[in-house]
Amino acid sequence: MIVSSPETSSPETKPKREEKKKKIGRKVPAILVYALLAAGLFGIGILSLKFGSIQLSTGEILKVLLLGQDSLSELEVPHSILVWNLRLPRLILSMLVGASLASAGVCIQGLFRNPLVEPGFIGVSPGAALAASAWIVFSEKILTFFPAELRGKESFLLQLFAFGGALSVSFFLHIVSKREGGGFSLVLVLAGIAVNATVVSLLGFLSYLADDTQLRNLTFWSLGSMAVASWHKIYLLGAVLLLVIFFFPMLARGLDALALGEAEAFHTGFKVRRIRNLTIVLASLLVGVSISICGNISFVGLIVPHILRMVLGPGHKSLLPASLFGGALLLAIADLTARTIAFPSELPIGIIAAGIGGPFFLFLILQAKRREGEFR
Amino acid sequence: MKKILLWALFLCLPVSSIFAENKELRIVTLNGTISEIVFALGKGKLVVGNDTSSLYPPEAVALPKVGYQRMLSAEGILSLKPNLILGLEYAGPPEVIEQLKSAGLKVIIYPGLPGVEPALNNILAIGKEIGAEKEAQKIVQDIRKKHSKIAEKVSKLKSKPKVLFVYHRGTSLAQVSGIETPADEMIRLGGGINAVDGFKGFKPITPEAVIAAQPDIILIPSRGLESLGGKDGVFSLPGVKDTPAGKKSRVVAIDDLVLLGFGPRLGQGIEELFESFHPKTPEKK
Repeated sequence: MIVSSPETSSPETKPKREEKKKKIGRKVPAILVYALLAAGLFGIGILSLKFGSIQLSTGEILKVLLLGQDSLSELEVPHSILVWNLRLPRLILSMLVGASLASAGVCIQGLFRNPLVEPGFIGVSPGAALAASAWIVFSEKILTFFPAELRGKESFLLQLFAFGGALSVSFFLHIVSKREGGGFSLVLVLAGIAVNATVVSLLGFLSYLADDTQLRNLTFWSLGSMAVASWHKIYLLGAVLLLVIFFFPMLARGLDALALGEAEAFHTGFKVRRIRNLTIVLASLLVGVSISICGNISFVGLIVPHILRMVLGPGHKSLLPASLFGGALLLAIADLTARTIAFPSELPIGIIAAGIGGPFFLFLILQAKRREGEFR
Repeated sequence: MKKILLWALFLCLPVSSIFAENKELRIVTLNGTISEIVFALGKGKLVVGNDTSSLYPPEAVALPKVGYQRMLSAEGILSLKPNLILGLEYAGPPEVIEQLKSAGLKVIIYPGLPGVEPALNNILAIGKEIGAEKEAQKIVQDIRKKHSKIAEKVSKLKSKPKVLFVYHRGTSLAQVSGIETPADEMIRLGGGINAVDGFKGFKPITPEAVIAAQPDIILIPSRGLESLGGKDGVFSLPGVKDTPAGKKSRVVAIDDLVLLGFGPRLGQGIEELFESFHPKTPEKK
């Protein structure tokens, strides 16, 4: 089995591992990583605002961003619309979604003590997509007594349902993994695959029931797109992310303690159950809301924590905020690629994310295996 | 004096708006039928881009593509610097349409209902929009003429064949068309009866359902026929061989957009359908 836990590793490898740990742990000071990520975000932000139908100079961008529309010349007003209505919402939404998915990835990996899991793999994101799809298909058919604005794709209940879907899958997996001794187990990954298969089948059933318009909305989930960006959605996801960030210190301490094992964490005085439930709820909230806004985007929650853990070490105090920025950076790059690579048409961002993520993941697996014969 | 001044003012206003209108149109079409209409109206040269469903005429195929009509990108469309965007109601996602409008572009979305009248209305409306009203009238009259000629023939029919519309892509996806679909409407216009009327929209083909429907004719878009590898492919679909259509080897294939587009070639489509549903058999003479 390629997946094994620190607890189950044989005693004779332990000193060697400790040594390795020093080597691969915290290679780079956290502050440097943050600075690099911030610089990257700033850079990609400028590039995203620059490129597209009309190439804008940095000066023009700054002018448009800083001055109100009234003080711009007639020639610059279209630029202002371009930046404020199209490029900036997309940029911010992609950053928020990336930050949400990467943070959720860290939380779920910490919770299950398995760096191989990701909301998309173990069925949490597909669960959210399924619930959202079910809402789209059934809200108009069954809830006819509801006011029209509460039905369909535009209703906030869509987000609520997606959250519910993510939450149910997370709790289910948690129960499964607990029965298997908690955390780090192949059973969890296998259960995730089973959940995924079930979800795919149910999605197929939904698309059979759906009418043409609904079918269009459903296909959307499978690919993911930032073309739907609007300020309203940014506020919504931003609020959710802020709420989660508020819990970051608590999550960091809790997840670090959980890494020792549930019993150990309990004995060191942590309210394990509370931390666990909080992690599940917050991660599902992030996944559910972002998936319901822009479709299914996988791999972000896996790649970003993976890389950062290699650089920063496994401590969640720096890993959580770094993943937040890292996810934002990765998805902003993916979106810029998605909307420029096949210009004037656009590739779905899910394809880009999986296209970068898949090979990279394989590379990570092979490298980690060569280096230490297992995953850290 | 006042009068002259007023007149001068009055003249000034239209002059400025004429100037505005004289600015050459740069049109982006977001749907195959819309593209076909604009080209049929003789304004194809004004089209600067279209979507991937724009497959006719050949000139339309060569234009820059802004993606599929349901997966559009605002920036891509903007880059073509259009001043008029025409689409059917399928154009989306809705957010992109909103973004285009908020960027100050004129975006017109027409209804996509199947049926002769909605189709004619769209042609007239587009003609008016792009300054080709006469051409639009001509096309509409032509379609009306063909339609009423066939409608008269259809009303005199003693029996109508049961037609099964098969939508097929590649080897995996085969669906039959129920009611309230473009195919259903076209079968009726061409003087046939839809062999499956128990459901709305499309359903996957099942051998039992095909046999139960007992179609006299299998109707299939040309592209679908191609993807099946010709007539033999149609008869190899589960159940088809055991229907009257299979036994008499009756397959009707018509160009996708002529058959389902409800565009300027609608009249031609109705005629073609009628003729292939009711061939003049030598025995009758």
